[in-house]
Amino acid sequence: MKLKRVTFQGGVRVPEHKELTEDKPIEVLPEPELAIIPLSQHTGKFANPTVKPGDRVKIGTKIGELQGFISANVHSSIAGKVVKIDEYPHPVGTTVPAVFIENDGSGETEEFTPKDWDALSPQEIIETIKEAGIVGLGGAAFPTHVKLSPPPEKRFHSMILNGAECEPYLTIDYRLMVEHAKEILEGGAIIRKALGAKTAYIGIEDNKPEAIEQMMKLAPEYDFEVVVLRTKYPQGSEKQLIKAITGKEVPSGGLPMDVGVYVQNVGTAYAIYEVFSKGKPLYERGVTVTGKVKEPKNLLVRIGTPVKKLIEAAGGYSEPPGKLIIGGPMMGISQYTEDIPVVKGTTGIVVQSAAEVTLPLDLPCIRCGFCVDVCPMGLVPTLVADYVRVNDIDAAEEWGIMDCMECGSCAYVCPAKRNLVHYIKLGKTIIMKRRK
Amino acid sequence: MAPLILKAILVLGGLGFVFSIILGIAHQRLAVPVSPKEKAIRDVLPGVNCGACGFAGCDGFAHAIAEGRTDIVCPVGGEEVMQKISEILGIELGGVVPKVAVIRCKGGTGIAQPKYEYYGVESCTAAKLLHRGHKICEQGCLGFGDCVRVCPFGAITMGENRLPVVDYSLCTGCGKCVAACPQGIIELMPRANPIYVACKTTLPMKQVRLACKAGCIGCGLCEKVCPEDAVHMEGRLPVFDLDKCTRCGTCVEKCPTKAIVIAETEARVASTTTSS
Repeated sequence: MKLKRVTFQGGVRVPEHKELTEDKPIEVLPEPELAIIPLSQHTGKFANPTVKPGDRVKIGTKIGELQGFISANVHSSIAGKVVKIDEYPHPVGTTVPAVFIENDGSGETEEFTPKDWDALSPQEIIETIKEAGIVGLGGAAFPTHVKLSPPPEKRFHSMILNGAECEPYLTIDYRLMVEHAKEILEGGAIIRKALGAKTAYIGIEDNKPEAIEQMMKLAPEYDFEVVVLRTKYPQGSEKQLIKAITGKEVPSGGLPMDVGVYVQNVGTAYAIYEVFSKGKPLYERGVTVTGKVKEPKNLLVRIGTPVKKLIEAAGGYSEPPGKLIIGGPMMGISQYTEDIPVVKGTTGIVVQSAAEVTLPLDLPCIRCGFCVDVCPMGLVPTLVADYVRVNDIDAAEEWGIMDCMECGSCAYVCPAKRNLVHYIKLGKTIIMKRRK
Repeated sequence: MAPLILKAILVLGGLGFVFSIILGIAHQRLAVPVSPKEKAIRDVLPGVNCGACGFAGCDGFAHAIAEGRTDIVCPVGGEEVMQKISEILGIELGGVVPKVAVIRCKGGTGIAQPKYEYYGVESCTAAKLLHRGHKICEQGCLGFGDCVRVCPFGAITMGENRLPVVDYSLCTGCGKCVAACPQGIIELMPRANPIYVACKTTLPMKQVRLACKAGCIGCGLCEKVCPEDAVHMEGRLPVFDLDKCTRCGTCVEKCPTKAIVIAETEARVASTTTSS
């Protein structure tokens, strides 16, 4: 069957390396002896700890209560004793308070009560999702209940399940789509009911034929339309996905809700399915461990497991590591320690050897314009970065620095190996500080 | 050829003449009245528009003073300038304690241990974005010179060991570097030979030695040896009572990690007192 493949303007083709793990079924990683669960695994305010050192918790016990509008609940991923609550490094590069839980090996769980979503109102569905601490599992970790409750004047007419998984190396969404296609669609149907969206799509890149086939078979049952996307980075970015599937462009500075489209990662849809079918809050997630490890694999990991355990489960390093990245190689963040915990937004762990690491040289721009061609947001990355470099932040803002999503396409193609994304991140930080 | 040149001269000259008349009239009609007092004040100000007084530039400051504000000072001009302004206004204005910027970190290259290799943008603010900087001590100087670039007086240079050095003869205490430093380790202190502990670490005492050879380990020896009772441990770090301290240097000598510093600004202070 010949399919129409859609895409967006700009972007880059990057070596995929998905062959390392795409055929590896998701394995369950044993519980860690010590789970370090950060109280901020989401965009927005920290969760307030609801436990104190010495308390006993079970699997699924709420240990952090959301505070403020944009925030999410945090649940214990193991049963045991709370040892301490202390500042701890977080994969995104900050230090946040975290709850340290020592495993007592009992594996005792809270009583989970499944809910029949068909009988619930949209508001009740959103409330259940909020209670379960669901956040976007595609990496950005935006609290799902907030995304599901837009201001009253905005309405969602369509929704898209995001199965693009455009980051190289990562295959966890693909494995989920192959192994749990039905559950993902069911989760999608729950979201759809909460939104009241008329049309629903599931977008998958054409390098995942098995997932497309699975979804094609099951989608009609749930009234979802499978859309095949051309394999190109960053196809899985919200705005690019909307452009490719619906042809609509999110205005500068706007959000997808401005065009009435809701996008949710397939992993999140699966987690939502589990909330309703099993009553299970979000305390574990799938993580791809890949790159220069002996046995790359896809793992189901308890939140708070140190990265070291995942590397061990993958047989250890196959070469002396040059870079340890949490997330994909394009947008992920390099880590300096293996003791960093897996959080809700951890999609994968990529190990690169020293030889594979390309260091930014930050040579002068040769005005080739490659970055302009590939920028999916239609910006002029070299100019924006230069404005930040000379500290002309106003000009950088005028040239759309805040529209940049830091996908890294520009830095990837830059022949001068300029630190484009880092300059832009710096500029954004300065602007955010000013706005406060 | 000649007529063409002539034409050009005539046209441009004519235009220039007409415009000059228009400008002349506009200057008269639209002039913003500036009080002679304000102008006189503006003339005695340093004129670097550094913003240390809290106004956007010297004009703003001069205007505010002329309007009758007495609660503001020009920290850069110091006593000398404020004295002159007082003379112009004929009233007594509040005195200025001249200040200098001090760098409260001694953890340069080779002294403070790195957490990871950093290859990003050469800016402290940018380096701090990634795991709070590339040194184990998260309060230490990152060494990319955000303070050097921001100093309007050229008073800060980057030392060989990647620690900024303040030239006290040029520093006016405007505080621009204080605002620019993402680590908050630059502080303004009274100019007369300030004494301080050049460390702001929050690391537990045991870990300091591993992180930095020059870090304060919080032993409290300075408090014990001080003959004037001018040093007291407040939490993790010693705090100096600048009025009691005689700058005898006992604590500086005894400090096991040599973390206490007396900034040598004496020469400058002496010269200003003799000149005024």
